[in-house]
Amino acid sequence: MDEQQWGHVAQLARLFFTAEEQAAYATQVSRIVAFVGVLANAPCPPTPMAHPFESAVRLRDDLVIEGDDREALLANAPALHDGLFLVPMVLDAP
Amino acid sequence: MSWEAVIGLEVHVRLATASKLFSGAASSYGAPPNATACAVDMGLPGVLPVPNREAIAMAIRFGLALGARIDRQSVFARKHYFYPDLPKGYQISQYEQPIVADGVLLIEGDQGERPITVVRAHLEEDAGKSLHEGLGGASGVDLNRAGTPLLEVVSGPEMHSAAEAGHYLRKLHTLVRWLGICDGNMQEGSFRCDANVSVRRVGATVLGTRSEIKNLNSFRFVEKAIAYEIERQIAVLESGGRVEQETRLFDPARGETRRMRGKEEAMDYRYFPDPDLLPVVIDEAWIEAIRETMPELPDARRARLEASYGLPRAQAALLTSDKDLADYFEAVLAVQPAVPPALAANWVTGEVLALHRGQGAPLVAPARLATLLARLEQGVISRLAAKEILEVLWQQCQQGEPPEDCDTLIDRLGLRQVRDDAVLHELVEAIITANPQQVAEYRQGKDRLLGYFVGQAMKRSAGRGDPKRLGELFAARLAAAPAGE
Repeated sequence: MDEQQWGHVAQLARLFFTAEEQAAYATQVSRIVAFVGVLANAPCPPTPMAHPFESAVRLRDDLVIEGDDREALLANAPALHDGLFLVPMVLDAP
Repeated sequence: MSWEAVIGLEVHVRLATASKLFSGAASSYGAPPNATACAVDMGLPGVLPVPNREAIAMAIRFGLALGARIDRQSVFARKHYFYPDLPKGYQISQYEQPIVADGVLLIEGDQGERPITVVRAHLEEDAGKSLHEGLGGASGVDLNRAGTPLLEVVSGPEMHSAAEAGHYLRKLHTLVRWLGICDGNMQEGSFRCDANVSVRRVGATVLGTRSEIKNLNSFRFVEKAIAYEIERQIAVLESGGRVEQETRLFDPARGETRRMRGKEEAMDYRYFPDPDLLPVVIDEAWIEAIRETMPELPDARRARLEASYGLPRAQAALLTSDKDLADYFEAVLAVQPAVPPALAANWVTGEVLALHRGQGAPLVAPARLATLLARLEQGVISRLAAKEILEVLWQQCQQGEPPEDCDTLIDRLGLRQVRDDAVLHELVEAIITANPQQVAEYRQGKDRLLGYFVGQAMKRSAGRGDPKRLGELFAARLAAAPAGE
């Protein structure tokens, strides 16, 4: 994994490394990726499967059965304002 | 050498289900912050998504309406990005196997009607909402919207002007409301659009570099943003520059688009099949059951209104721009088959629509409008009087009062047209006496003064005279010898 790839993956994961950490981890991660790469040689059907089980998802009727636990859910939050979860300001739109 | 614009649209249609795509929380709009978000929507540990059957049925319904392919197996995937209003750190969407593919929507293009490909339509959950103002430098997160079902509808890059894009959007907007799968409310974000715009030399086959304009929430903004972007790109190319692949935002206040991020900062979403969700399998029986509940579609209905009632195409198109309006028109004719369809169509697309200015069924019951138009057609009331009565009925409905019977209202307001010749004769004589100058001019050949006389008589009778009969009486009286005057 070169420096540029490392920087890209670290940015995607929102992880920040010192130069020493990067040198150490880059070697380890490269070995992991190479190990996973062995799978590319496994005999597989042309289209990868979406799920290991050969069955279909169970569907649910369109009924409202949740919505009476607002206070309990909000109680988990470290900071609230008028029912909004407060987080550090983030302006870059996704 | 001239340029050709190439436009593709991505529209997010919020499906009108009662509950969310993967949870049993309400999918309604406007609740207090975080009142309709449950543990699944908040991405709390240990929860699992379970898809909503109705949302899938709505996607199938949409696919059938476009004559699209409904894939028998479709897969949910995780789309990763970090933002506070996406608590799981990924959005459940569809990537490689969307539910709907290869449909067609007919639009009124710059050179006549033509098909636009709907490349795909896939299901995904919406994110929550972030608020940034008045929170002391923090952002506030409301997860009510998180998990509401969206159908993302992606067109081919096949439109060539802002007008064509606008037409495609309106057709799509009509269709999703018609099918009952979306309320179409753009202010509330039920129908949102991103536009991909590029330009190339006329005749070129390779696409130019495109920019993506995000989050356009009105038809007018979409058209303005695209028109601006086409001009901007042409100006860049003509001055020898290169268009960059980038994401842009439309600024409605300035009427221009501006750069949001470039290709190098483009999102890397790392899609993969969601291990929490098995594939969705749709069998033939389900599709057939939905097919049987499909309504007559807008294009077919427009063609039928043209053929059965002899309506002009533009008027039939206006009537079928909204299912409630088309139903209303046909309900009026069903109650009073004696009302000429052209008259009913003119009133529904004219007076009724002018009062209506909104969605849903018009206020005055079709039976009442039918009676009103029958009285107009029978000559019991004048057009002016009919308009006045419709306005009274409309107000009564608006204020929640029981609307009065049409005939009662005609008498109460004294709007019954005077058709008694004796009374009309008196009126004719009075007008002639009061306008000797105009009478002389008329007799010297100024024929168009007849309209003036009828107008005067209508004014004096407070609109109750029968203008047609008055015209006849004036013509006869003034053609006779001027003796007695």
